[in-house]
Amino acid sequence: MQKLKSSHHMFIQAFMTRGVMNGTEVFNLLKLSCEKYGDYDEASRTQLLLDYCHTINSNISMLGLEIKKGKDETNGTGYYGLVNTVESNITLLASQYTENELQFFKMLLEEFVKSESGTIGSIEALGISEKIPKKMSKTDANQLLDRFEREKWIGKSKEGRMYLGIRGVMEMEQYIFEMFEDFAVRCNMCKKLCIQGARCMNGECETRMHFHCAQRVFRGKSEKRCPECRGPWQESSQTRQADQVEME
Amino acid sequence: MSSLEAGERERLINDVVKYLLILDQKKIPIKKADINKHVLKESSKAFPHVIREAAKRLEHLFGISLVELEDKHKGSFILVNNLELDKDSYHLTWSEEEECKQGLLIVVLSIIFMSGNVVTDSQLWSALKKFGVDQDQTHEVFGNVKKLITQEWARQCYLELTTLPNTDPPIVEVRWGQRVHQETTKRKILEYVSKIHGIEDVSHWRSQFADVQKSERAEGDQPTTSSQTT
Repeated sequence: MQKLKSSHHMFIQAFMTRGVMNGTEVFNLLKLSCEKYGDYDEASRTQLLLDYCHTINSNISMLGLEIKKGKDETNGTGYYGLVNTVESNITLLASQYTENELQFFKMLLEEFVKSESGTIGSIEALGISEKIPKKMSKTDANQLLDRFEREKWIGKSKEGRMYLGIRGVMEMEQYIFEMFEDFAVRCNMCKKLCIQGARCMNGECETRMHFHCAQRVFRGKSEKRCPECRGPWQESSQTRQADQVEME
Repeated sequence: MSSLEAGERERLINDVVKYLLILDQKKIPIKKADINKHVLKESSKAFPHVIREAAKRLEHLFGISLVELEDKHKGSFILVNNLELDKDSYHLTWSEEEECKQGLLIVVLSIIFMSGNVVTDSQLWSALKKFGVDQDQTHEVFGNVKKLITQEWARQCYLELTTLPNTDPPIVEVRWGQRVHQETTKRKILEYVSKIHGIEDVSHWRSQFADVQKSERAEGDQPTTSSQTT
């Protein structure tokens, strides 16, 4: 196992304070770390990034930590984040929230996973404040939701609907598959957890794909057919209808 | 340690590492008693070995030093970054609020240092008034400054507050906290003050510069300790 150098330390320290970073931010960080403590070659930066993540991960895996790559479900943007691979009392998420707030988050997760569109409205989200062990005021619930959003555990669409954010998707994937195995679905294309995505319109077919994954699968194709059953695939206009049904 | 299996030992060390990382986020020194209570539990006897290994792991994985505090904070630990943090290598980002607070802290530390390493609280408040910071008013950025200085920063060991006995009204002396000595140097603060005044040469400040030199000589005699176990 390769020993970690100061450049690795700088790289991982940034993740510890920032949680998640997009591709541009990560490459900037890589450049900063390597230029300060070592060598940097712009041309081979992609490979360098892979090497860095691999080296760091093999070292920190003993702590149940990993730098993972994930994609924002709403737009397919790639992100890197430092996540816990083991759920325990001693996790980075647990430290910054109270037990009650964590319960709120777990109930939010349940709502996201069980919803048709992977999103819920703000009224439903606030309603959780009454279901948690220690009831929370709506004002506090609102502030908590804002905080979750700031730290990218959840996201909010223009229409005010909430969904599991990039950090939530990366960190809670394993938890969701374990806790909600009857509801959690994998994307047919990338095989990762899919909460927000498009589906096959054939009633008997359960196939789903992330919007960004579906875009790649159907690129250049005139007709969208389900990769499993060849049935008709959901058109983007139909997505909005599904949302509308839920909102009523 | 022979009573603990290797696997169990590993788990405890890793749990302590994570515990330290998490608790240090609040910047409040971490007590040995809490580590024993929340992490080691029945294996508290293994503390010396576990904390030593945890310190090594923090250095190796994150470039962070575990430092045990002294005197009245003995038995508590803080984490100190081994990496030099300067303007060019700003890989750590803080919220705007935190950055502003850090700015105010540096001002307070400067006031203390330039006054000979100790001021009374009333002297400090007089000096801060010139910066538009008043202990009786809620500051639009810093909020309750009195609480920030007398409680938050004191708990975090950025400041050391000592109430003088037999004084009425009570006089409180304010000094640099132990954490400050780990995170910066007198020279850096003097350089900062010089810069604000537009003065190139720090030796302009005779007594403070002598103080800096004295500290640096003293540090040169002692090896820097990164972690000590009881």
